[in-house]
Amino acid sequence: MVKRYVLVSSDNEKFPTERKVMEKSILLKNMLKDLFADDDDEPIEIPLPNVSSSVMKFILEWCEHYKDVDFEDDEDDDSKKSAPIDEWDKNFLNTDQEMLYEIILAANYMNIKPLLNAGCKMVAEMIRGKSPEEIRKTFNIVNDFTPEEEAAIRRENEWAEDR
Amino acid sequence: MALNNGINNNSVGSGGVHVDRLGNSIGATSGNGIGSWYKSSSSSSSFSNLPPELLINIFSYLDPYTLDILGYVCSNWNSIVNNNELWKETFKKRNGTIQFSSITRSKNWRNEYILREDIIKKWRKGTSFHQNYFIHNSLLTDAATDFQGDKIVLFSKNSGDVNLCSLKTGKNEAVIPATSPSGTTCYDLNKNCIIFGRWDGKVYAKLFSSKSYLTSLTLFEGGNHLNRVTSITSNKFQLSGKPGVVGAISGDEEGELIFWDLKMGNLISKLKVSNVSIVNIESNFKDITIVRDSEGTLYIIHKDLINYEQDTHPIIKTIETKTHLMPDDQTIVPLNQSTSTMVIDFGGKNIILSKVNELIIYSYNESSFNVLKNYKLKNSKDEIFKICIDGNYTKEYDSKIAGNDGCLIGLLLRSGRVLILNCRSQNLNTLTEFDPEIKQGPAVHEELPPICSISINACVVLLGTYNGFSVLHNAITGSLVRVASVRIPKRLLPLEYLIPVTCVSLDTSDNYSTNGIVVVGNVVQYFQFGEQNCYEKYKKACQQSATKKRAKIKGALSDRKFAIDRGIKVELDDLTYENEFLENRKKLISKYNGLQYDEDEELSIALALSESIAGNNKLHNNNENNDFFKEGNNHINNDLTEQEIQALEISKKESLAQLSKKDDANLAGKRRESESNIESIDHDGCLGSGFGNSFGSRTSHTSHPNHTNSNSNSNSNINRDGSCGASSSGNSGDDNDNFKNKWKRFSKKNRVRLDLNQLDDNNNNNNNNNNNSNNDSANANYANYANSANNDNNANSANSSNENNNDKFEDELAEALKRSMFES
Repeated sequence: MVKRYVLVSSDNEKFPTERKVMEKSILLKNMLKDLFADDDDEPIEIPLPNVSSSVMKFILEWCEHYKDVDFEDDEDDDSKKSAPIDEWDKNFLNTDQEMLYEIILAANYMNIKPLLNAGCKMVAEMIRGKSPEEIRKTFNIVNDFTPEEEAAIRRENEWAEDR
Repeated sequence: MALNNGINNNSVGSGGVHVDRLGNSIGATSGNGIGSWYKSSSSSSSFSNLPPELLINIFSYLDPYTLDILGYVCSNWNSIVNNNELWKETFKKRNGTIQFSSITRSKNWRNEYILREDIIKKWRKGTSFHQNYFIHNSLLTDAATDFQGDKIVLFSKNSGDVNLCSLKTGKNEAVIPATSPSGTTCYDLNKNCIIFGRWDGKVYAKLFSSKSYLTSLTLFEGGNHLNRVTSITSNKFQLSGKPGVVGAISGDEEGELIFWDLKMGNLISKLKVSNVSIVNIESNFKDITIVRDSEGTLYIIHKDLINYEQDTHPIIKTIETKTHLMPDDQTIVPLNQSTSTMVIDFGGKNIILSKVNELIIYSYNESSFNVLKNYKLKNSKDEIFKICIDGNYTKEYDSKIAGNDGCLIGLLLRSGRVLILNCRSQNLNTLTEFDPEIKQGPAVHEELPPICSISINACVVLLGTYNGFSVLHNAITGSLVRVASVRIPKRLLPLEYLIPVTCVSLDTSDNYSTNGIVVVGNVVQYFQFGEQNCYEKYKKACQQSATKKRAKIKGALSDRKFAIDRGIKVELDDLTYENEFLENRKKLISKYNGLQYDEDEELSIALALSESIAGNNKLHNNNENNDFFKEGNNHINNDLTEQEIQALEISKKESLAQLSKKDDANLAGKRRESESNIESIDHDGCLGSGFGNSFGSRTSHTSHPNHTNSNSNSNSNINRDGSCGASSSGNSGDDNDNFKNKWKRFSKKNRVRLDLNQLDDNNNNNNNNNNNSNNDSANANYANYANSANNDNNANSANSSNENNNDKFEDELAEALKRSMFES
């Protein structure tokens, strides 16, 4: 297939893409369906102002890898999301935190459910089994509780402590 | 959208080198895009600032305990952790659905999630406690449970007897003999009462609230059906004491319904709804009654059944299902709750009908009246075998309750596959379907359904297979929870036979209980996991949900110890039983090989010898009830010449004189009992007088379990007329009546004879005529008794020892029969 679709990232980098790859994103799929149904030989540029080029690279790589896999867009089916992360996804997403964060945001924006879920699972893995202090350190979160508030929460959650 | 705005707003400015939170430089983010946003968002980090829906997505992969920890991290996260949506999402990830039957019936998803996890954990890991008990009846066919009142009602179609006892221990057993009237065409059993409809249109009931279990059924007064009663139902929820409250509804062949006051036993109203026979009646006994006739038409009758007003005509709506749900030749189908093909979800206003391989649900809600949903089995060759509904069906529908207040339906297919659906969901998809693992038990015959009974609540589904083996599965996910039953001791249930689980039942009084029963053959197994009656605790926990406190269930150490002790006890029981059996056999062998006799036996042999001389003289036998007699009687029924009788009497008197001293006290006691009530005539009348003076002491020889068996046998068999009634349908009614009359005559004679027996000394004065009739009746009694022992042995599929003992028993009977001829 001729690569006549071009995705444009926020920093104006151009990514010529196959339609099949692009259709992994529900956002783009619907857009293409609604706007460019007729076959036009002109290359079509689709600006994606919320996605930077570095993230775009990642996402297109992911889409390329899964271009032959059919994900059911059925709402009911994402009930089975509790399955462990796919090994390939795990390696693919094993980047630094910032990139992961970007990917999640971009996947959410472009509506790529499987990628989003895989990203969320990765983050959940990072959170699991850590103490609140460790979590704060990992994600550089500032503890915005006053000591009184914290004591109150601690009291409420007493039962959780003795597990 | 929040996300997009967030980025748009922030993606201004120049790019820059970014250092991540762990201190690793990750280089410059290209361009001026998001990199700059980090800087502008200054102190706060990326992940803590993700839009809430993404945070919820991330958090929903975590377990509740991690989530509680997240609450400490920062105020933003804390508010998300307390968000209902997060818990809904978490629930969905975990259980795969958000439409189900709620355990807590609260709107708080957190409660629902955590309590469900807790209760499943209790089902899975709770300290198990099992109690087996034997019910002295013929094979049980129906059971009704009252977990809160600790009561179980068991009914046997074969014998027509009803047993009541404590659900948890099997103690305080009470028997209501011969409950089913002859010619019964339909019946309904629940914890409150048993009710029968007859071929002649009469309706009988027995309330279990009354303590006098010996009184038989009450015949409902004030009118009756003009023809055969085809369907009957009674209030299984609670019995109101006020007069004028409808407690039972019966329908007949010509489509007429009768509303009955169950407590008072009289007619309230008649209502003609159809022209063909009524197949199903279901009612919540408040305001709605749903009737189905044999043409498949549904009648929804809106009528206040608590304050029944005669004047106002009920509102009746009809739904034509256009399906003959019953095969044409089967206008009368013995229905009970579990096999009924019509189930009503009163809360969600749904009528659930099952065809061979299709489930059809009609709504009778005003807004969506006659809206149809159906579910076809994927495998068209399979059949729906049984349907059950979870306890939520009686409760008022409230869509805000977690899980959209669903109501689960368990479908058991003939192939053994189990489907679980939510009958209130729009699309009627299966929540889960699975093939339960069957590990125990003998190989199942191909034609038998591998699973024979099913029960469901909001949490788990209980499936019973054979020989008491039953498994629990998670009702929403379908995963195996645990094996519910333990092996039933050999002394109660011989393993050589394949006995299907008649009935399983879960405690549906509230969803927090983790107990239930398994009924197999004549054995009931009660099981519970962990501490029961936690309802209050959970309720409290729910109320405290605002403060997120949760009650902890303490796994009492003593409980566990008790359970272990029980396990040991079961094994010990088995061992003693086996030992006893071996010893018994040894005894029998030595006895019947002539190695050992005690004093009594020597005497009895002497007697038997003298009789055998007498037995050679054959005279005509004018027994009017020959057809009643079975083997072992005819050849004993020999008449004697007067001289010989006298001679024998003398010899017998001598022998009796010795024994009577010994047994006087014992027998006197028994006689008194036999006078006092009918029941003890059944037991002791047979044994005490039958074995007569010489055998009184010997009956106590029989081993204990067998002894109780034989007692129960005699009991159930005396009520034979009732049993025939229950199993036969209309046409045989006349025969039954005949039979009944005959039996009455017998028992009367028997009574006379017993009276005579009491006057031991006067017996000699009776003339020969009287003698003959006495003998007849006595023989009849023994014949019946011997048969009963035989029959019930078969029915119980008793083990070999039983048979052995039975041989002995029969020998003794034969001797006793001979003796009874000479007694007077």
